[in-house]
Amino acid sequence: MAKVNIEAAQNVEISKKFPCEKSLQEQLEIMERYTEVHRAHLGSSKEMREAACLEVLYPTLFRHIQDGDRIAGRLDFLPIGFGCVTSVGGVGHYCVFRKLKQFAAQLPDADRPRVDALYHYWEDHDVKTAYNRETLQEDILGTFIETAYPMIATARLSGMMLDYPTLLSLGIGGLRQKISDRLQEDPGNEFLKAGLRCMDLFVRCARHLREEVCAQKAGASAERLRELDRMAESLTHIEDKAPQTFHQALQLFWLYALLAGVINYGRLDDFLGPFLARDLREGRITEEEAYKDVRSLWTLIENRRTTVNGRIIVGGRGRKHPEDADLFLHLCMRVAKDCRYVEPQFTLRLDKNTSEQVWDEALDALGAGATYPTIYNDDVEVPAVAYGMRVDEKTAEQYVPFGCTEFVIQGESTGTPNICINLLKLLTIYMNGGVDPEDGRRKDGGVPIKPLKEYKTFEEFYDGYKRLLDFYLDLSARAQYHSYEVMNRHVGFLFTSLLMKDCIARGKALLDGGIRYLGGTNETYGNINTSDSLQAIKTLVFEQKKYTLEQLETAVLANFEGYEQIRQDCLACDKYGNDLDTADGMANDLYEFVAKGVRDRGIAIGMQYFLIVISNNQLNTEWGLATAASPDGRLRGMYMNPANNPQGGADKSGPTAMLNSLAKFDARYHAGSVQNIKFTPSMFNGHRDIIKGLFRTYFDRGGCHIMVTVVDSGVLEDAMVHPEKYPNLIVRVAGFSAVFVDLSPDIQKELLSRVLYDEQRSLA
Amino acid sequence: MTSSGRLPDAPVRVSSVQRFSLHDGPGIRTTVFLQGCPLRCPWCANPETQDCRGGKEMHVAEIMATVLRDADYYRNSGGGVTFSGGEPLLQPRALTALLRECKAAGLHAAVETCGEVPKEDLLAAEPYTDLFLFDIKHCVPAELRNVCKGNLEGILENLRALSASGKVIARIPCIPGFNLDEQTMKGIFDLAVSMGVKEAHLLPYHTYARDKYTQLGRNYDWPGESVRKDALEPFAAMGREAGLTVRIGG
Repeated sequence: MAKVNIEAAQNVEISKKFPCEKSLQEQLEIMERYTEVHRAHLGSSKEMREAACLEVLYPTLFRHIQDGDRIAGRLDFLPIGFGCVTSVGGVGHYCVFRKLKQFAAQLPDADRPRVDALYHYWEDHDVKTAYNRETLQEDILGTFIETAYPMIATARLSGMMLDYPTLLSLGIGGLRQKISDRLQEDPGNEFLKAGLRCMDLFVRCARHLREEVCAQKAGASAERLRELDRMAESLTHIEDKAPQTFHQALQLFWLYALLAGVINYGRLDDFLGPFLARDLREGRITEEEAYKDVRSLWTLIENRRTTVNGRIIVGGRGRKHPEDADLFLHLCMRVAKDCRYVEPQFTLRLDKNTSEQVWDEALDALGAGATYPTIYNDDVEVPAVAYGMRVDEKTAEQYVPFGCTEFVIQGESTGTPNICINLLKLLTIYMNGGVDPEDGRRKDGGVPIKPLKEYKTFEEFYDGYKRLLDFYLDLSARAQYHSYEVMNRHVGFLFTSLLMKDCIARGKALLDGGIRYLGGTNETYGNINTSDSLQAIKTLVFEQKKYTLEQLETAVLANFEGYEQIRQDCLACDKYGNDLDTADGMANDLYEFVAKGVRDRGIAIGMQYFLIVISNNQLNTEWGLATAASPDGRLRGMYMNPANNPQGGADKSGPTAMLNSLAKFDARYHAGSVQNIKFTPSMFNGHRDIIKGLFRTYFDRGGCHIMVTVVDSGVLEDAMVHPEKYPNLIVRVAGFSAVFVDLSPDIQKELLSRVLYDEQRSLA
Repeated sequence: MTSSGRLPDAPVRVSSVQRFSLHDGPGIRTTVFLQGCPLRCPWCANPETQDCRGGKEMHVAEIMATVLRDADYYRNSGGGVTFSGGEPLLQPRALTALLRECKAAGLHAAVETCGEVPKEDLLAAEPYTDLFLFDIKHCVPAELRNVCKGNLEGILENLRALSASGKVIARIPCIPGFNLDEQTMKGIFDLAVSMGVKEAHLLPYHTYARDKYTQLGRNYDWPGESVRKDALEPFAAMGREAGLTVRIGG
């Protein structure tokens, strides 16, 4: 069994969180109470234990209503508590040991033993640690985010997007009734009984928030008083009844999402649009008031600071109320353009029928530097999802991207990426006889690897690498599946389960057999460096016979020091991103091997789907730092290629060629692949028709997604030197946006390496 | 093989093929820079294309294979292919072959020419060309001869012969110290109108090519700073007054 570092950083955290409102003593007391309740319920069912623990946290952890909030509900979280995801708190019953230690450091010495006791208790009860102990393997499979390993795994339940249409049509009272009805058929069902406690807890929270709202009234302006009254009324209404107004719907959706601990929100246009349309039609609200409400929602989402989540999805096929939904969509476009926040990750799905107005609004927002919306092409994605997830097209129409791009079916599936694999690191290990050149440790998992001189053909060489991949892909499916088994042993994710098909009907929590589609995803890294490396090996060793494999490996192990000519030859080989059949063909071959390999293994192990995603938050850079030099000419420690894009600077043939390369992968085998492109403002805003023609053609040719950064040349360079001048400069990283100056220098350099398309380029 | 099946065996001397060109005609284009030019404009932005012996040899099919990769982009943006240079009509058979291929593939094809070419070559290319970007650099024969080694009378005769086709846009490089003064520009506009030209593009002088000269081991000795687009507004107005549709930039 591997040694488990329980204090490893568990996720990417760029945006700075708000400090907890509670005093240190209060925080400590809450964590102690939580721990006590957990301990006292060790003999209870996991569902009842969870309900009891949630009752400790809520409504206690709600923050005060802030000036300007038009919707109630802000939450704190502590180093110990309950959650679904690593970016707000932790997973299941969690203890984030690193943060608990930081917390302890602020306490007076006398209180330290109290924290030590907590630390000690959770060493045996933190869900993620339990998973790590059972799953990790020395030198082979590490925990998030330990980059010395070729593969890392975690237990989490990311990306849940709930069945809000059901919530909004039933209301809490209706949902409670549905649970009760089912409980009558199955009176001993612990999940359903705990579900009823959750409904009670929701009501307590709504009442608590109403008190908080009313406390704000003293001294408020007449206008603010009206807003507060409306908030109080909505909170009362949603305690039991289904929402009637846009504001009630917003409030119900928001409060439920907070209590479920989910951080991606789904197709808001389709489920909030009808409420908005009716209010507008019947004169209950003006468009400006609605704009302010949506803007407040934007702020609340931004303030949760999850870095890579906060998805709001609009547009696309399969909306039940497209006209009403478009009213909401238009408001979102304005808000996204005006706010320019890093979250929410505002997402537009479009297809051939999308109106010119929506295109223009999207390009306006992008042209203003918002980096949003990020755009998905339903004409490609819907049939691809249907195939990849093995569902019919109507179901596939409800796909929603979360996090950096992974897809789930809204209200019907899990898709959490609990595995990441570094394909390039594995190539460097393979070429070095199974030993990682970075630390000299054997990471071949016992897969036999021949000495390099024995490979007579490229196919033989490539095949040997594929055998090593097979070992890791097998492990990836087992580790993903086991994360569900471990989480299910400890928790029911009650609030989430209650709004996911078919948990109530089956009387089971989602990982207990309740969820309709148990899916998962596997993030792959270094894809393009690997295929470019394979292409260079094929060209230089087996076609041109300019070098032997050993010579190439010697140069790579020396980080090309003393072998500059070899590096130049490697760099000069065909590279992905230039619309070349050679390099793109290699990239596609590797893609299909890995993607189909993952998918087949997921099906075999019993998942509805297990698909790769090509997204890479910023791990391409961090993992690159721990990856040896590679035959594509990349130096040791250099960032790896971002997502599905070429290595920065390798694409030298302009945007049409790059987009053609991107569009070559068959989207049926992945559950999300993101594509970056960067323009100067004069190019993007001065040539709107060209940009539209460019994007439309890319989509026609099978492009599935595009995300756009519009930034002037020299600005990023200047921001590295004078960060104080650019507090609001937003860039797209790969699947999320960030304030540029908050990123580490290594990641900033990777962003800089990407080609910036400018109109001047074509001035020969 | 491309569709028409009439590919000449002789290779084409090509300086470069540039995809996603935005300054050589409408929409998204691929510009094929052919090698060799009869003129020697001292500010030339593509000095590497001047020497007829330079560049690399490519076959028509090879060039078309690259060009066709972006055919969808041309269609969706009202773009196409532009043959530029150098002077593309210095390789008249190759150019005509390329143009015929474009026509057969349904691509919009433009030719950028300095006009200093045999009239019969120009007219032979005309049926397969959708647009000529025809340079008018000056209105005074002696100036063009002294500075660029060009023959204005011959160029104008070609322009007159071509403009009846209605496919000509005049391109006027706006070079301070050469033609960027009221009198010369007025003369150029009047010439264009008298030749039957309807539209003109003013190209602001820039010094981006300076590094290319260094790489070629040559001196870049044209004095003067790059011209801002808005500095050309008064000249554009003058052109419009003369009866032309005028745009600043390519």
